[in-house]
Amino acid sequence: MSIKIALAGNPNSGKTTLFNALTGSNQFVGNWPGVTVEKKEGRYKGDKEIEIIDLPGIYSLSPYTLEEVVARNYLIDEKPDAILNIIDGTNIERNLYLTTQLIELSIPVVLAVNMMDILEKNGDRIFVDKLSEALGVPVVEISALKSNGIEKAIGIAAEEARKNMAIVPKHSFSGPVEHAIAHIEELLLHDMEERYQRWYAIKLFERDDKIQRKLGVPQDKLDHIENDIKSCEKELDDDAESIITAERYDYIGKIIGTVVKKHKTSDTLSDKIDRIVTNRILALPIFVAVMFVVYYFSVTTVGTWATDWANDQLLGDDGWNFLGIDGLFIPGIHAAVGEFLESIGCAEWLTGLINDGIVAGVGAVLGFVPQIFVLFIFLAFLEGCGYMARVAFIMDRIFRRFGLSGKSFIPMLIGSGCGVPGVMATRTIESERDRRMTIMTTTFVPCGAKLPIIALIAGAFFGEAGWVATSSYFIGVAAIICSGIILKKTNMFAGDPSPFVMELPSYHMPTIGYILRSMWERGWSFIKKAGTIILLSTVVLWFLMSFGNIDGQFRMLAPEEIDSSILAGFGSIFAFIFKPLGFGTWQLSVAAITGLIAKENVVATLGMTYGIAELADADAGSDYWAILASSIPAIAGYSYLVFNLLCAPCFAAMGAIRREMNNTKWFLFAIGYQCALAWAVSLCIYQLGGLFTGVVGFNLGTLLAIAFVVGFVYLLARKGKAEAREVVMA
Amino acid sequence: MGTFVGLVILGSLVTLACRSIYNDRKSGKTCGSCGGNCAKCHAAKAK
Repeated sequence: MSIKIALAGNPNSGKTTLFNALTGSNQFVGNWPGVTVEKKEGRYKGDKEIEIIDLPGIYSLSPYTLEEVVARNYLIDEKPDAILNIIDGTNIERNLYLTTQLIELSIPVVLAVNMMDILEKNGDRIFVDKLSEALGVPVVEISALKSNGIEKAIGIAAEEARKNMAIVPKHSFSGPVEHAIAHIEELLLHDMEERYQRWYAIKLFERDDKIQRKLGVPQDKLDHIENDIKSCEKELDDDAESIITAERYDYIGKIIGTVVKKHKTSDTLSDKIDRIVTNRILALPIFVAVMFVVYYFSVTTVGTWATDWANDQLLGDDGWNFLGIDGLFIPGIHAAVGEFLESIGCAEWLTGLINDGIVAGVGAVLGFVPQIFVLFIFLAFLEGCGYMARVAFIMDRIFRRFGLSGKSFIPMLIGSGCGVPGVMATRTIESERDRRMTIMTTTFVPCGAKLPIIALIAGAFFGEAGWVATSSYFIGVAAIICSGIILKKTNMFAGDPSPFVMELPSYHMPTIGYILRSMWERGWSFIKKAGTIILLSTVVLWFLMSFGNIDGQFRMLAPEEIDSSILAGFGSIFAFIFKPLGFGTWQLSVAAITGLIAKENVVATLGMTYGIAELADADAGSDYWAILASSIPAIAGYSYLVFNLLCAPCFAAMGAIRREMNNTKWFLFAIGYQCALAWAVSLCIYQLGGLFTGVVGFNLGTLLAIAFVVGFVYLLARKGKAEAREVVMA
Repeated sequence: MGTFVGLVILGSLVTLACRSIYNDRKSGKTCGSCGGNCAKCHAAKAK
């Protein structure tokens, strides 16, 4: 018989770590709350009959955010056979609040006290037997990270599920509350199975409108119970929801007093570190320095050595000696494929398609794999050790000044890997206005797919200077902040920022396994995309690039005739849009447009178009970077980089924006805003930067850039709307 | 003959790429670019 066991608990209590350990999955785990926004299902590797459902983290069964709704709906509608309630042993008081509610659901509950190792390290103790007795449910000590006690926990949960015994909650509320609850049960819930009545009655007492709607309670009966609730509120001098909350905490307080022994200590190591890294003055410079180090090592040093090797030796024409041994020469893939196809007498056009199309295009993307992996190692470490959760806290202080919430930073954190889960992570934001705004701006943070563009521009135009990559990240952050300030002053987004309550997890050293798994999960998707979407794109691009009309004759073109290709014609149509931005060549225009399919396509397209140019120009040097660098000034290269960072993301991320907005007009507005902002910022960079460096003379574009800067300053500084007005985009 | 071998290589690469994209779509993965981190990919993996 199949058994369904739901993993429920507070955010960041270790549910997904436990889920991975139990099912053998590699689901993404982050050391900050809100990583899981939708339920995930898997089967216990020790017994395939046991289905495990990882629910988003929730603080209570009174849902305020979308992911809390997902978790609660699953528990009350699907009714799993048992609930494995994971609680963070280091924060037991707050975690038990949800436990008291789960017990009222009358579904068998097993309590798994996680992070026992940290608890013991702190010198604290939890007497699990006493806790079990006090709550009336089995309690197991576990460490999800070290896989200690997890089999025992799932075994007991399965046993409890098979018994399917209704739990009788040991906790009872004060007399007036119990009286009102009993009255509600009698009046409204007598048709329901008895074991489920109490939980619904408490929710109706709390005036939970979602439960009222779900049960379809008639208005006259609602009015009737309202009298009971009001008289109870009058008697206890508080509102119904607060009465329930306070009485629960009283109950938890009494339990804690008997089951927890706290070791009196001075500040923990986490407290000491936090005093520095979240310091009001030092926090931001430290964050900037950390990100500089991350991007410096990823793009400039370690990553570059590996990428240069991959580009020139492994994927290029140079070749390499295996383990550095002279006699063991392995030719570069581009050269080897070319020689092989020539040796078997393959037609020239097909050799061109395979070698100058697929190998050059896909190779241009794969060459950046080492840098991607180094970046993801750093990000995994920062996420796993708990620093990124602090960054959300630091950013909240900054964001709040401008009417934004630190909650908007969590999607940005996730978006640094990929925009799709970043956009989906906006579900944790309660305010619909803030959520829409965060969806619109999350993809400004450079995702993994944009790193090759950053590395290419940094390498081709700026001698791999470390500041290029770091500035890309902070341009993304600045775009989010500035967009927030400007948009918050409009009718569409005005209003107070969402409250941001986040528990800072303790610092801990992430395991090597966690870091490597996180790096591989994200890096593999990058490699896979190169072998699928990018490969197919390069085939199409090669055809468009290799055929064209010359002297009224449509035929295959020689490398030096590429400017007459279909692709060149297509790029030239759009080139005028980008001309004021400094990169009005057909090659760069086409690359920016193909980047909408997948951002890696920008590099693949440049690799192909300038790679062909390399064949046509014997003096161009050994790589296409040199030709790219000579085609436009460095400031235009930077403008190109910024345009690609800020403009509409790839189709997959656009799809996620469409789904999360759930409204075509809002979706189009978001994409339009991103493209317009990217164009305006790139224009200002090229025109004003070019004027300053002497590359550009004063022209109409410069005038427009100045107008943009003035308008931008005005929009930032002007007074906002005092009152929010709901804007409906039907 | 050489051209035929080249066409087989090209056909294989394109087929593999299309099949991989099709399989991902069929299994419910949204894109494959999220590293399996988005909810749809989670659900697809669990199947």
